[in-house]
Amino acid sequence: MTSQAKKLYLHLRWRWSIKKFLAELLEKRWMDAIIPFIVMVGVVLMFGLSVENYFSSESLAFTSRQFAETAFVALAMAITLISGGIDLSVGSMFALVNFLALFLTHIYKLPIAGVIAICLVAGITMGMFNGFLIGYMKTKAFLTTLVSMISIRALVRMLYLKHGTDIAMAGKIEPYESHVWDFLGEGFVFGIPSNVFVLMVIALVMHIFLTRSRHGWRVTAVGGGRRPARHVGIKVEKTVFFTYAVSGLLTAIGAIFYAARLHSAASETGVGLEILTLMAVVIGGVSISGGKGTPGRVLIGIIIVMVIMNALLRNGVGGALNAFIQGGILVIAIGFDVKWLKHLFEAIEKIYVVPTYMKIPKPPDPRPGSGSVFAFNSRLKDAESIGVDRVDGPEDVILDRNDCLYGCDRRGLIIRFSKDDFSKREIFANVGGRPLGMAFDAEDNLVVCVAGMGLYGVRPEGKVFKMTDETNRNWTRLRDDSRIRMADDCDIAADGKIYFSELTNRYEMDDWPIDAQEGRPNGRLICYDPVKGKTRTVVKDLVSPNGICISHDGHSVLIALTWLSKVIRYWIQGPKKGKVETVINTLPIYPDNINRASDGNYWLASVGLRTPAYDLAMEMTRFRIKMVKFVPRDEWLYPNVNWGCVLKFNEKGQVLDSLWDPKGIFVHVTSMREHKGYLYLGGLHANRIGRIRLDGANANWVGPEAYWGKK
Amino acid sequence: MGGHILNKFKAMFAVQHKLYQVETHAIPPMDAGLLPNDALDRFQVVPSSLMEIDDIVFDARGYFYISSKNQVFRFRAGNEEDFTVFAEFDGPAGGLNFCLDGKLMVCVAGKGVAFVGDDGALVGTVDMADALPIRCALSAVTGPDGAVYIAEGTIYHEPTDWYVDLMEKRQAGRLIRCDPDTFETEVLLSGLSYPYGVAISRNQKWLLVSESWKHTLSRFPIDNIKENRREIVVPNLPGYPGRITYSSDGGYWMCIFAMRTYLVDFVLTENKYRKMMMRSIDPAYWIRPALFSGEDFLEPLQAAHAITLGILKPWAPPRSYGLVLKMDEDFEVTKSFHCRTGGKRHGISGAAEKEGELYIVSKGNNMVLRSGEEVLK
Repeated sequence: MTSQAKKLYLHLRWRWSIKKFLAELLEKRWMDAIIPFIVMVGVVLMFGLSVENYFSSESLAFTSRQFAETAFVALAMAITLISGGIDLSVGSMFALVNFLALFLTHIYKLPIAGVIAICLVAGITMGMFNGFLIGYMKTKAFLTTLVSMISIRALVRMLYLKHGTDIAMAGKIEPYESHVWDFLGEGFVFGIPSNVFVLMVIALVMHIFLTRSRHGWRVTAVGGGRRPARHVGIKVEKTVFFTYAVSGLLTAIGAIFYAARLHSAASETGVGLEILTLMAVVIGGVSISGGKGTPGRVLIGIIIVMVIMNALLRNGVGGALNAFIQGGILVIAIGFDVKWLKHLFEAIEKIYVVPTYMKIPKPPDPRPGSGSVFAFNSRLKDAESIGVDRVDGPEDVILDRNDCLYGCDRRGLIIRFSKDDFSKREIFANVGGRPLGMAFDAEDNLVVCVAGMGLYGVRPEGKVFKMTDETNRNWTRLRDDSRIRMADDCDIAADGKIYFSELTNRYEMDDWPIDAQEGRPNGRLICYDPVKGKTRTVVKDLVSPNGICISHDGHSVLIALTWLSKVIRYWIQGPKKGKVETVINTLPIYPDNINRASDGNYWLASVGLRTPAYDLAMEMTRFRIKMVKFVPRDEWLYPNVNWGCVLKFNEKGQVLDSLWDPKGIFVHVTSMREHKGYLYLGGLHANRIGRIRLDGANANWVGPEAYWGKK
Repeated sequence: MGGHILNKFKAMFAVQHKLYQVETHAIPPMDAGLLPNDALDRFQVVPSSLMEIDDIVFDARGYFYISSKNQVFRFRAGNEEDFTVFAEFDGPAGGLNFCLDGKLMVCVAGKGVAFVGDDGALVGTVDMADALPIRCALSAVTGPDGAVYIAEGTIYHEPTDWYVDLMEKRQAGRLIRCDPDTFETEVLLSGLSYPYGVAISRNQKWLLVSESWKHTLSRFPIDNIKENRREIVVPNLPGYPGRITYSSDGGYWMCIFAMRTYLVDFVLTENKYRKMMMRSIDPAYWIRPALFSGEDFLEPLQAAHAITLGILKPWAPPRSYGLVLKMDEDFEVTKSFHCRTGGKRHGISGAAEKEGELYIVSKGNNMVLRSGEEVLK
């Protein structure tokens, strides 16, 4: 019973981890808004309960109209902040557009459509002026908009002196007659104040724009870092210019609603609005250092600020003290913003890697003289070298029907060597990413797993096309794992379905050793159906699935689980369809790719050797957690990847043969292909492809023919 | 006296002094005189088929003596092919040195220190001190008054099991004084962290002791060692220091027989793992420093050791390493000869300089090496 309980405990620890959950939670983008959201709820409840009649409908309508106008300006402020700038002139622009709207309606009595158009154009023009200076003339955002703020404010004051009384008089003597105008100021849509309704629509559009559109991502990217944005080809000047124009537009919309509601052309309109909105925006979680924020957070921020300000006013706290409190809140919010950003990534980094307990059975002894089939020998020592220093890291190698040799290359290339003597090297295709496992389909397209990208195909003439980069999401995981992160090896079943492994979806290609340290089931087996164009995860929660091979009879998929030193089988046909069973329980090596042998058996490559010290470390979780934390990464304990080895096993999982390389030239063989009596060797860190003659092998056996028949 | 003044200066500023002590835990970078090079790979090999070579010395008449397995061999400089067996023992011979009267002292593993006359005949043996057998005598030196000082690395193990002593975190070494005529012994200090090398300072005032597990070189006033007025002259070496001999220009040579790595230092703090490892794994495959490596595929491997594009990075953390330091009379490291990760001249256990030529012994790879004049310049 106790051993059962212990087993369960170990299993749970293997599958779940609070630290991992927390790290993935913190990584979520919406986590940035969680604290503002809690503050908002707290503030609303606190003041709502303590201030009398706070939630009465009349009061609410008034507050919400005021809220919407400010929110437009806050959105204007936010978009400039997100793009890495700031717009201090929003308050002055607001005042000018307000004045303009009243002037055109009350003095000139223009039709309402014309008034709105002119006001919007005025807002955009002022924004474009700022944007031109900041984007194209490369002036500093802070100073430029400060100057705009002062000069536009001066303009407003002059205009007010000249026309202020006229507007006030005209409004009294002969009010502007327009239903639209009245609607803007006092109307309701579905019981919601008109401006709040418009605000919601615009906020939604802006949210979709910023988080789901290419242009929106560019704005965020520019805010995140101008130089990298420029390096990836974003037109930084244009993007910055655009954000200020939008800022002017949003401010103008807010000002029109304000004008329609209050009809007041006071010269002090909008004074301090820039500070109020800046405060709201930063409290809401839009980072002052740029690149972070959404309209939703802006609305949260503005609600917090408005509720506090209203409560202060109702309690008779006004003037200087009010401003003082505003300043205080702003300082706290900015301080929090800076600290949050600074420590969030550190915190994630600290807790992201979560090694777990992993005990694998003791392996057969591979030492020379041990008498086991794994006993170290020197049979790879006479392997020929092909393309020395002309291929960088051929993780997988493959030969086509015409005897041409293909190797994937770390630089995102597929290298092809001419047939017979392999002396001619050409770049067959440039797929990008880090190409890994390869397979030929029935039409002689080369299917390639590309780490960081997904599953891609290359037509015989060298044209690259995408097959899939997404699968169904695993809803028991917090992290969205629908994107294929590290496709590793693939093979194609007789019905054309492509089965491929994803080694890990928690780490990138360069970090695969960290996944090894973690020892968690972060990988899966995915199936892509080219006929239906559908991708589906068929086996989830696998520990480092790596090599994939369709069995000779086509009824099952063999999967090498690297860090478990194990080979399993997934049935795709027959009575056991959908079941998973173990083929080889334990090996003294870490298995990589599996490929068919001409004699009906399978070749298995070894990426590394199990060492006693490493095996022990895998059983000691805390040791590994601390090692990952305290020891520099270059000095971590690793599986021994410096000795190459190829194994052969049969359908029952019995290992028949082993070939070792004592010279360490073909260090950690990650793939091998049999072709016409030769075995070709590839290695993840190798600078060449190896080839060795197989005695007694079928000299006419060709891989693609074994799969798809002669052509 | 630069180092001495610096230490005093540091002591004056208590806070800085504390910081300085904390820092001794971190492995220092290999800078200045310690800058890695490939000088050791350029040494000439003295042809011999000797195995388990441990130390080398020369006498006033120009003879070299080399300890290997249970024997001490003798040859003349410039005539290295002519090896002759000089003396034989019933245990592996280690550190070599001379008494004032010319007797050769040979540290014999498990037996103590043997004194051998000019004809190769055994004159006497020192095998006990304070009622404990001397099992791990590593080196011996004659003081200005003729007394012999013996460094015993540990009371628990013989020299071949040095890494067990390290991984058990022992501090059980002794410093023993003995009279080379009556063979009476006296334990001067005990509880040392594997004292490996002993030497008399060039001004004859101090006894120098290198303590491997503490990565330090200390000195004691020679007229009053028992009081333990230790002064650390080299505080924090990046490796495990071994024997110390004189250089021809008034300084010292110090052998570093293995380097520290973050992983080994980390395992030393992880007691649970360390004990499990020592209990369940063959010592050859422990996470530990070694005198040689790269021969066996079950040895633990560290991240940077992965051979990439056919290259083993020489800066990778060394399981074994070849290093000889040269220090001036103030113990500043002025020069060093390295054989880095992946090299085959590792585990340097002995050095002797004669007439501008440095002879060293690579215990790990069973080699006697000769600098040639150019390297030494």
